[in-house]
Parts: sequence; structure tokens; C-alpha cells
Amino acid sequence: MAAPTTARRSSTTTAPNREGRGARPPLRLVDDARRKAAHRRRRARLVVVVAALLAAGTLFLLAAFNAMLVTGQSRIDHLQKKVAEAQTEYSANRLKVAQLEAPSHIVEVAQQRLGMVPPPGVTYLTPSEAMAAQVDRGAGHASTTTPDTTAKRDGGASWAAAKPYLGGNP
Amino acid sequence: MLVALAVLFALVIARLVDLQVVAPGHYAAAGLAQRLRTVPLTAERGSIFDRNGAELAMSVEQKTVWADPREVHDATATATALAPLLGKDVAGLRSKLAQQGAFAYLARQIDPALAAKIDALHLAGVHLVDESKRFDPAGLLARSVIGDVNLDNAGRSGLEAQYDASLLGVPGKLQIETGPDGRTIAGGREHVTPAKRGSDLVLTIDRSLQYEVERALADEMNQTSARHGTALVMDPTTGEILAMANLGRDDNDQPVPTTDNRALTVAFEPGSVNKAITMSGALEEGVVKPSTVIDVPDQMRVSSAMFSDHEPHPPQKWTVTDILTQSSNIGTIKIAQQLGVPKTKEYLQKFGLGQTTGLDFPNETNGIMKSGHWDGTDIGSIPIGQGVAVNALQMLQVFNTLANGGVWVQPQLVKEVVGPDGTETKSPAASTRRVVSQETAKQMTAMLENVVKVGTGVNAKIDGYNVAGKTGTAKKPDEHGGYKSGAYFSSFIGFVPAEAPKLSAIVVLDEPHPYYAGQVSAPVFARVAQYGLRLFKIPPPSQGLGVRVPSAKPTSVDRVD
Repeated sequence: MAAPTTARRSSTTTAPNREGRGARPPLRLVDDARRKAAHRRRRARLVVVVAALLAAGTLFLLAAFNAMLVTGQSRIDHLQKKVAEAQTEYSANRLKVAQLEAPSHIVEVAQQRLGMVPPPGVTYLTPSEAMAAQVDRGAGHASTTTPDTTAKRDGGASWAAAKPYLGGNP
Repeated sequence: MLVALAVLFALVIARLVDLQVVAPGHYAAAGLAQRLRTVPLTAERGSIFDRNGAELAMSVEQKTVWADPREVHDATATATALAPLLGKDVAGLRSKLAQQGAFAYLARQIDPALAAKIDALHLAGVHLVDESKRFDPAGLLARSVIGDVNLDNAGRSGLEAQYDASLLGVPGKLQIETGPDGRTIAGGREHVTPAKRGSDLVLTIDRSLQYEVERALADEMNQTSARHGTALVMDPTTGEILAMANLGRDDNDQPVPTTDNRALTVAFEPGSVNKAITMSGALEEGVVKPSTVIDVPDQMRVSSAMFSDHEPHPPQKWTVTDILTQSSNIGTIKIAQQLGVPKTKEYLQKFGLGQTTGLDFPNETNGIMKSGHWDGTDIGSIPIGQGVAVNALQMLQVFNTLANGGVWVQPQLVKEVVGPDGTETKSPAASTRRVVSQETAKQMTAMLENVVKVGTGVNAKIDGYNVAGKTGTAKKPDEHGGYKSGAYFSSFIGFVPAEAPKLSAIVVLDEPHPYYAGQVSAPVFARVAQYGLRLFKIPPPSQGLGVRVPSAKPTSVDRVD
């Protein structure tokens, strides 16, 4: 209802200007449907552009993400290889240590590199009966004052009693 | 024209439907198969440790070089490039590279550093794969006990074979999708079935003692030109085998550890050491006492056979202690006759002769023991260690029983099995059985002490300790049922400290010169036992044995007994 009124009003108000400028196309009423269609086309174009931009952006993101994945996987592969190498090296070192600790190797080094020789025999010192009795008495005394069962088991309890008889020896 | 286009279009549509609707899985699977790569993950074989955790056998990852001949462009060029690195001839490599099929081993279990050089050549069709290799870091030490594995890491002999199932582990696999360049496809399928490492074995063997025993045996073999030497050291109270050495001779006639565990696989006539069983049975049954006096001539007929003592002597009135110390055949036969065949046989069996030791070691022999009817001469021969055969461990077990107060304790070689997750599974407790009373065992120990103090075993003496033991010098049988001339097994078995035994040992030399056991085997026992006493910090006991036996008449070591 309002549209025709507006159109009429505008035609009356613009008439003097048209006369003043000379020949101008006559004013016409714009069809509302065409205007809406144009508006829809503009909006569609905008949607297409936005969609295209979104699609391009998504593709770009996907590509970037994939590149990151590939780079990450490559790094994982590299690290896994390094881990495997480190494990191999560890095993090799473990073997080397075991070989170096082997009695045959130690004897070889002692004799050939350090010039050591096997002793001709082991000399045992047998204490006299009197000394042994004294040591026994000392050990008995020590065990009453310091009940160290561990020391007793491997002869350690006698040590304090035997020490004075060793003189200058360590 | 339009119709043709329509038909063509229809064909394309039909193909599309076929690919996408009718059988989409087939092509997807084919694609996946192209991308999917399965990498075998080898299970590391468990280690073998000594009782202190020193590694005696271990597996280390190595590289194996293999080829896919279909991928090889130029077999000759590839072979020429590889030959100097692998130390192989070009022709052999070329034939492998040009053979039919998709797989050929070029070199197995090579050093990773060398493998890296091959990898750097980027040879088409040549690939590397991880494969573990077995190493014995202590060299040939305890070789016959540990055994060995084949190229595929399967146990072939010794403990490696006996405990193969525990040591082997379970292999795993890794499935990944890879591109044409071999790189992993990010986000692709990846499935890992981890490999399970094999269990570890912890032995009762002590590496240091084992080395010393092997060295002592080798020295004695060098001095006596013996063909083989066997020695075992045990803790008689627990049955743990602390050292088990077997030496033979290499191509240069030098003593070297054998692959064969002769201590368990070779049966020999024990000779005089067997008299300990006869005496123990007679004491246990109350037939004789250590002080019982017996008339002992130097020879005697038993059924159809004539037996004699090692040296001629006038008829003697010897105590049972004297008979053992002098190692008199006639005296022992007389005691066995008093004991009787059924009881003599019973005690031989009770002490474990002719029976398994319980170790279940591969190729272990039970020896030879006449459990059925005995011929008339058997009561003469078997009580003195002839006509019966034992392995070294069986005979040591006889003396272990006496050392352990008359209780036989099953021997043990494996202390525990440690699983890949660290779970320790101790070996089942050693089974035990009483063979003779504690009193009999003590009397026997006291008599065996005499053998070392004044008898044939004086060379087994150890300063500061009392040693109990017995020598045995037994002729070697020949292929014709008789005995070889001048060929003997010379053995000494003993334990120390006699009052509270902690170590026992047997030393057996095969064809030594001289062959008197007291001269050749007893000194090895002394050396080995002395080392063991120091190693395990075993002090001389403060209390005596608690039994008295008559003192024995001295005798010489330079004699067959």
C-alpha cells in the first residue's frame, strides 16, 4: 500500500530537475521481484565465494596437517631407528663388558700387559697352640660384649683379638 | 555416434559400479597388501648367568644381509660390491643374487658396523634385517655345560638345548603401511605384536671357580699327557654344582674344554672309590666296625676268578680302617662277602649307581649296574669297582652322601629361571633320601680322613683343614671285554672340611702318565679345593668329627689302588 504513494511523490518532486537538464530517460518503477532476484544473486555469489574460500582454506589446512603428519612420522621413524641403534650399541657394550670381566681376559692382561706371575703356592701361617688359645679367649670375650653374628660367621669376631698379634702387619 | 557414446558411458558406469559396489574389497585389499609391510621382531634369547650374575652366554643383535633377486638389477655389479665387505667370493654371491625366488641369505649375523657400510651402498634388492647372535663372553669356559645354539638360535647341546623352551622367547611382528620409498605412511595402519624376551637361567656354577678348575685340569693334563680330564666341585649340603669342567685335546694336542659334558655322558669303571659303598653298607648293617680285624691275604679265588691286591704282601691282620686306607681289594671283597650279594647290591642302588642323577642333562648316562642276577665272580669284582660303571657325578654323589651325614641330596645345576618380567622361579627344592645313618657317615668320614692323612691320598692334603677322600685307579676296558694295558682312569674324590663339609670334588684323568691317582688326581683336588675354600671364605671348623676310628698304617701314593 505504501509503495505507490512513494513512487508518486518522487515523480512530482523530481520533475523540475528533469526539465532543467534536458533529455533524460523517463523514470520508471523498479520491479520488486527483479530487485529481490538481484539481491539473491549477489548473496549467492557471496556464498559461493565464501564457500570457495572455506574450501580452499580447509584444503590448505588439510595439506598443512598432512605435511605435519608426514614430518612427524618421519621424525618418529628417525627416532625409532636411533632407539634401535642405541639398543644395539647397549647390547654390544654389555657383551664387551662381560668379555673384559672374563677370568681368562683378566689373567691374560695381568700376565702379558702387567707382567704379573702366578704365585708358586699359597703359604698358610699356623698359629701356635698358645696363641690360638688366647685368640679363642679373646673371641669369646668379644662375643659377649659385641654380639655381631655376621662377623662371627666369617671369622670377623676373632679379628679384634688376633690383630695385636700381627704386629706391624696391616 | 550418440549411441556409441552412450554405450561407452554405460560401460564406464558398469565398471564403476563393479569397483565401488560389487567388489570394492578386492582392490582395497590389493592396495593394502602393496602398502602393508610386516617386519619380524626377533625375541632375544635369554642369558645364562653364573651364581653371581656374571654372564656366561648372551645374545646380541646383529644384522643379516638378504636379497630379493627379483629386485636386483645387475647381479654381477652387486656381487662385486658386496664380496670384499662380506669376505665372500663374487661367483657365489652372484649365483645367490641371480637365483629364482624372492629370498636369499647373503650373510647372517654380521657386525652392525659392517652392515652400515653395506646399507650405505644402497644396492637394489639387498636388504638388512635384525637377527640376534649367541655369544659366550667368557670364551670356552664351561662350554660343555652351557652347550651351544645353531644359526637359527635353537639350542643344540647342553643347557641351551635342555632349557631351549625357556630361553627362546616368543617372536613378535610389526605391521605398518609404507610408501614406495619405504617410508611409513603417516596415519596408516600400524599394529605391533611385541616380541617376548626369553627367560634367563641362573646357574649354580661359580665362574671364578670354574676357571680355576679348568686351569688346574689343563695344567695336570699337560704334565701327565692325559687324554681327557673331568672335575666337579659341589656343595654337598645343598647339592649345588659349583664347577663342572671337561677337557679334551685340540688338533694341536693342547688341553681345551670339550663340547661333550663327559662328567655326565661318559661312564667309567670307578675302581677303588667304589669301596666306600661296600664299606658303608657293611658298617650300616653292623657286619663290621672300623676296628674289626680281618685276615687279608694278597690274593683270593672268588668263583672262577682270582683276585689280588695291588702289591704282593704276606697275610695281614688289618682293621677295616686299614683295608680302606690301604685300598685292599681282598679285604674289601671279604667284607662284601660278609655283607652278601643282596645287601651289596641294595647299597649300590641306594647310593644312586645305575640311576639318573635327576639333572636330566642331555645325553646323560645312568652308568651300568647289574641289578639282576649276579655271577659268582661279581661279588669279587663289583665291590671293588669293577664290572660296574658310573658317571663322575654319580660317584661324587656317593661321597656327598657321606659328607652330608648319610643323606643323598639331588644335584642342581640351575638355581633359578628369571622370566622376562623379572619373575624369579627357583628350581624345585632338591629331593633328599637317607642312605646310611649319621653314625655310619661319620665313621666313613673318619676312615676317609685316614686315606688322606697316611694313605694313598696324601697329596690331597690342605694346610689347616682335614680332608676326607679316596683315590681310585681303574683299568680301562677294551672292545673285547678285557682291559687295555697301561690305560687307566685315575680319580680322586674328597670333601673338606671333613668335620663339616662345605666343598666336595671329584677329579678324573683319562690315561695319565704316571697313572697313580694319588700322584696325579689328588694334587688337582687339593689345588681346586684350596681355591674354593678361599673363594667361599670357609674357615676350618672349631669342632672335631666326634667319632674315633683306629689309626691306619701309612702307605705310598705310588701304587695302583
